[in-house]
Amino acid sequence: MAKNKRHFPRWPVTLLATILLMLWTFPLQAADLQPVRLMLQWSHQAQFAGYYVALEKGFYKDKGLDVSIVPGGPGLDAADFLIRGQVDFASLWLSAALARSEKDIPLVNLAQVVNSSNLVLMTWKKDNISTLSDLSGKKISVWGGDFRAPYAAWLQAMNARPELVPQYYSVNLFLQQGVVACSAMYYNEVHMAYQTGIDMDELKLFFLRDDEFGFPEDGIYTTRDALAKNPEQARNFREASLAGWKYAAENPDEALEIVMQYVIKDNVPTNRPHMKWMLEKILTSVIPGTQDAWAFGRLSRQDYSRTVQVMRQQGLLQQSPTYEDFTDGGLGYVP
Amino acid sequence: MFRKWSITWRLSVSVLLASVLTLAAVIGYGYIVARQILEQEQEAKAAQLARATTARIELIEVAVRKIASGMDGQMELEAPSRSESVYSLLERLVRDNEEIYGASVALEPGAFGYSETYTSPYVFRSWNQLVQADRGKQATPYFIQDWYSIPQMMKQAGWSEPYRAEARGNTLMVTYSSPIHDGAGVFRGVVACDISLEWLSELLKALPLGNEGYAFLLSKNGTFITHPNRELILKENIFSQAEEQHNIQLRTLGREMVLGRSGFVPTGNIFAGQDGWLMYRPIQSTGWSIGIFFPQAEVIGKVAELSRKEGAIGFVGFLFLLPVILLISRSITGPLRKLAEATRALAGGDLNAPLPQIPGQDEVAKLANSFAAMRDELKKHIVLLQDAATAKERIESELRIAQSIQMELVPKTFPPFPERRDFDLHAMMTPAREVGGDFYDFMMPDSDHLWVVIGDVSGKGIAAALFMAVTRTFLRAFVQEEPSPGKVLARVNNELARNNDANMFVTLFCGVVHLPTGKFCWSNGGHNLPFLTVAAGEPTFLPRTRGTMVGAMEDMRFDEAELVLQAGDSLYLYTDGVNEAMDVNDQLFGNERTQETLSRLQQQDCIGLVEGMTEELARFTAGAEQSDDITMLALRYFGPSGR
Repeated sequence: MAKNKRHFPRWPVTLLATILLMLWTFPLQAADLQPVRLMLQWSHQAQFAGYYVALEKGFYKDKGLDVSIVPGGPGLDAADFLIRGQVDFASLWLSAALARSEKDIPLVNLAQVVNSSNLVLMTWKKDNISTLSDLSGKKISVWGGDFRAPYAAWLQAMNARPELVPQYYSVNLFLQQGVVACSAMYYNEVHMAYQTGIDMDELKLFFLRDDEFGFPEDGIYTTRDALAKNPEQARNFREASLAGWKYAAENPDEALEIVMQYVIKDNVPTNRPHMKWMLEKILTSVIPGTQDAWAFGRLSRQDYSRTVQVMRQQGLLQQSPTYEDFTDGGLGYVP
Repeated sequence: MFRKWSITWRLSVSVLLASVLTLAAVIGYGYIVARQILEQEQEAKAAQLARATTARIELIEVAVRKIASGMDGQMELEAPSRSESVYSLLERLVRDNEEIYGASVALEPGAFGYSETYTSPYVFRSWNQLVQADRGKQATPYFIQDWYSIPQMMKQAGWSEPYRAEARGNTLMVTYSSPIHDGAGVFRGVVACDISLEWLSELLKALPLGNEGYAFLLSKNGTFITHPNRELILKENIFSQAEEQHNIQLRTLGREMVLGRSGFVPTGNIFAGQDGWLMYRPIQSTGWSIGIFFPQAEVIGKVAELSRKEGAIGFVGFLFLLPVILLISRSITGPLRKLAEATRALAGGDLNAPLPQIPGQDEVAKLANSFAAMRDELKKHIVLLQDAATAKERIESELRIAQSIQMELVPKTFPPFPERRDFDLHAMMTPAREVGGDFYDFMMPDSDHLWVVIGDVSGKGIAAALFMAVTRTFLRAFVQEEPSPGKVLARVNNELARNNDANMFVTLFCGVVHLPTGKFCWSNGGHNLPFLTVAAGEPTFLPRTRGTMVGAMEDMRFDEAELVLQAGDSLYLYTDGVNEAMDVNDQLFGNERTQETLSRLQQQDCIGLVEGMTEELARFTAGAEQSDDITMLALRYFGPSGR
């Protein structure tokens, strides 16, 4: 989903959420579990299936962790919460984590969950866009924030010069043919379009990863300070989370049920077939296939370098931590 | 099989079967027609409801568009210092249009000299009050909302997809927004009217769609704007449901709807798992589609209910019909059965067995009447038969009387003159079944004369017997007075011929033997000539004498002849019952055979001769019915000295 980077005063909500979390986790402390909070980038959905599964199947508990999962959403930026120390861990977009590391405090990538890119450019088949350069001079909508850089770099590299208009929460502008193309997550907006009655063969998708512009996406982050304070907890959290993902990949039906529990509980405006699609697609970018060069849960040095390079090129990053610093804070965390 | 059943059952089963089939046909036809009519009505109703609802929704748009089109000009005029007037304008809009939840003017930064930040005067309903707010100060910026950005990009007014307005109590809304451009054509913001989905829901809920029918609105994206199941709104849409159910048909239908097409289609069970019809119509100005679903059960239910009731009435009718049929068939077969029984009794001979009384004029009654008539005829016939039998019996008794008269009149005591040694005499008469008029007689008026007579009266029965009696009486009387056979016959003839209205007559042979001399004198009135057998000779006819039948005509002459019998000569007198006796082949016994027999029996005495002749006749006829009296008389003369 689109991430809005604008800041708005949300402190009353934050305070309330914190109090509620503390109240909720209080009784569990008695069981000698360490209360831990994970914040998601967005509202509950299958994109975060592994964490729900880890929690529901007791993987966190097995590691002595009493985890509560806090959903993000518009105006609720997980990075903010992490940096402010309101949560212990956050699921963050790699480029966002890099940017916030530089801008605020150093963050550490404990695990790279989504290693394969899901970004696409969605076009109408009837518009006969055969290559990206066909978009030149045409109006396309692209998300802002963390998502903009990969598209911008990609279009630039592919020699496409479309007129970019901002894209917010919905792809309705594209659906109403106000733009010839729009940015989309393969696991989300593409299927949303399908759920507006558009058949897959009416669409033509351009995958950024097909042109080597796919970058790692969701990862588990903590602050360097927090890691230094309790590396054992971070390791446990990492392992339990990845075990959750693994379990979800092996038991997708059960995972979907668990996802739906969270979705329904939080009254998220989505539906089961959409979550099913999202789970299927996200799992293929979490669990490596035989063709994939990356390893499960690990940020590869190569992907890290490519991401940094593109961010620099797009002016989103001046300095960058070393791969080692970024992945274990130079604290010998990596096993 | 069917043939073996009784008429009652055949009739009952046939009539009931035919009735059931007819009723089934009527109900079936009624069901189909009523169903078609109801479907058509349902379609018309759905179309009308869809039109009415569409018109209602489009009214909102007209109102909003009017405001929006006036707004840009007004904004320029009213401008920054007069923002109060913008609020009052919005208040008026909201107050006057109950369907509008809230209205706002959302501006680009710096537009029309307003604030450099985002500014949006907003008036909305809250607990029946109109509240003013600046949307520019809300947490989530309005410029990223579809209701703002899409009209901006598309440069035209339009309806947003439904969304949850978190800032306004999580109300579900759709927003109609129209872009505002300044004089130079630069985008300056939008006029937006929020319509609560609640209001739309109520609008659709108010449609008279029966218990199970419902209406829903689909947005351009196929999202449920309203749906009776509120859980579905924003989360599910027609395509997600199709996907969840793996229902391509539903997806196709959804595409038809979002593409703005119209239809009235049977949906199978894709809605709520029950069969039904869906009427869908586009709401042109909004790009939405209204769907009205009628469950088949509800439409068909009425028809089915009707059919069920018809069937139940029919069934009750059958329950009444059955005894009626049984009654009618019983009324036919009952009398028939009774008639059959009566017939059996009748056949058994009981003509007085009671016949069933069948009232009315119908066929069975007629049959019974015919039957009674037949019985009566039969009775009459039997009475007649009995009468005839009585008559016959009387006749037979008459015949018996006649026979006894006949037999009484001839002497039957043999030997008649046991003291006489000079002759032997034997006679015999065997009457035929029908009494004839034969007779024989012999008398001795004095001790020297022996009269012998044989006769044959014409005709039969009583009359013949009586005629014979009369003849014999006359004979006996005249024999006393006249010594001459010819004269006797003449007198008898005259007596009989007088007053002989019946024209009866008799053949008579009359002879007298003077016993001392053996002189035999005779006269013949048309009778068979007797045989004379002289001792040691062959039998010969007596010589013929002139004479006719006696009694036919008065004053006839009867000649006489005479001869002298020698001792041992015999006479054989007979009637035509002897020589004209017939065997089974209608062969006559004949004179020759008579003669031969007599010859053979020459040595016998008179009894032997008569009996021998009788035996010979019996042998000859051999069972053939005796057609005439057989009468014979044999006389043998032994001479004056006796035997």
